[in-house]
Amino acid sequence: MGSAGDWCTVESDPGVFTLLIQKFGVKGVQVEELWSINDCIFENLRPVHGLIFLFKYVQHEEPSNPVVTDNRLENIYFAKQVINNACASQAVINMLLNCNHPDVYLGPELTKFKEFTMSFDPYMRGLTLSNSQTIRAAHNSMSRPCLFEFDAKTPSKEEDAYHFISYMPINGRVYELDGLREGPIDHGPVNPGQDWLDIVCPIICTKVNTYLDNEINFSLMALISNRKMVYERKIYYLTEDTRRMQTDEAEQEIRNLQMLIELEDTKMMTYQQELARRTHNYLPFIITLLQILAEAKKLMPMYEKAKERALKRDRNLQA
Amino acid sequence: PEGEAAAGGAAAGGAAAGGAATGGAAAGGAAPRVDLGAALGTPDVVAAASEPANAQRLAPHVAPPTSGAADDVRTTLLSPQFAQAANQFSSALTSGQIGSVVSQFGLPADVTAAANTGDMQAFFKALENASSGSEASKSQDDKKKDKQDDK
Repeated sequence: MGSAGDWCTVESDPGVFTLLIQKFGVKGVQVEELWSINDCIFENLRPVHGLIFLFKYVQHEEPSNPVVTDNRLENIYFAKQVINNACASQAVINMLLNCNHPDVYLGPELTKFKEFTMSFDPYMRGLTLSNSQTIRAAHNSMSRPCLFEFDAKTPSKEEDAYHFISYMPINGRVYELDGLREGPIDHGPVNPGQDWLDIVCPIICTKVNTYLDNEINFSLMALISNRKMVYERKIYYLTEDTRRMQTDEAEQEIRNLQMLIELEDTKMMTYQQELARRTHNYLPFIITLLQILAEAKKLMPMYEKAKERALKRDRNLQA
Repeated sequence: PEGEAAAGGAAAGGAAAGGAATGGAAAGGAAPRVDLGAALGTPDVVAAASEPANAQRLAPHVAPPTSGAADDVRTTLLSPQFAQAANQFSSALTSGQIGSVVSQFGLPADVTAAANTGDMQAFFKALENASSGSEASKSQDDKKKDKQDDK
């Protein structure tokens, strides 16, 4: 495997995904976590370019619909997953490279990557992705520095493996992109006038229910157009309208949108702050803190209390 | 959660291996797995760390400020990202592989040795002993200074 190996695990968090996409040089999109799945949840998120379903990988299931192996593959970007830790980036890139929406700007890095690998088969695409210095650097910049050698030495147990699959409309059909499959899974056509979300929701609901029954951890995220951009565009049109015809309603709407933009700005700042913490080396802080507690003779009392809590926890687990 | 889960799993394996190798402290007491993430976020610790003199010592080690805001000692201790780092630290500590990392911080040899046993309690005890030693010498230094000032 060589250099393909040193990919760090990244957290499955909408902030991490949003910043990761920006790091790739992509503009016009962001990722939001979905807490439930129904029609109204998408109301404030449209347009939704794709959905990412993340779960603790348990076992191989048979695909519910046919796997595409015909010449449609020439027009669908599908890369096979070569290494596990890269799968977050891989899921996002698979999705971005299939996006044809005018809101989505791929940027030079991914455009170049797509041109370079488009003629490759899914396995070669996956391999090229795992060996891409720039993509790996962006991916690794989202995770905690590996402080201790034991992190690298201890092979992660199979039960800790998380898996990402994505769903999106491509050329009028809904596909499931799962890097562990031989190809995309075809979930059927989107009829004229039909919303692709209406097709994908029942599929995901079925999946969610089986995972709930088996107490498997999962989360669902949506790749959507950059909110701030969408709000600014709305304000622009409303301002144009009010020039012709002044209405209180439009002005109220503009005020609302401005408030939403402020919330987006705050959210992005929080993401940056969380990333700074996530990637910070806290070792000097921890050592200094332990020394401070030791000098104040508060270290052993802290430990005793923590031990008591841990014993209680273990007893509760056994009971 | 991906990283934390992996670190947790590694710790359980590491602790068992450490116990078998040293046959000492880890095997003696059935010490439960203590996660420092929660322990360092308790009100007692936050209060101690936030005392001005202590906060000043810790300030250079908080996460770098962003356009959003700058972390202080309190926000650091209460953030989930710090808790994860602290849990990772305790996993590494109980796996007995942290001695060389700790030694970079200029801690006395017996503290480093205690860290290498993978016994958190022994490591903390060694830290307290070492600090009471340096505390004593520090206050002696202070006394000397005072005397000099008197002159």
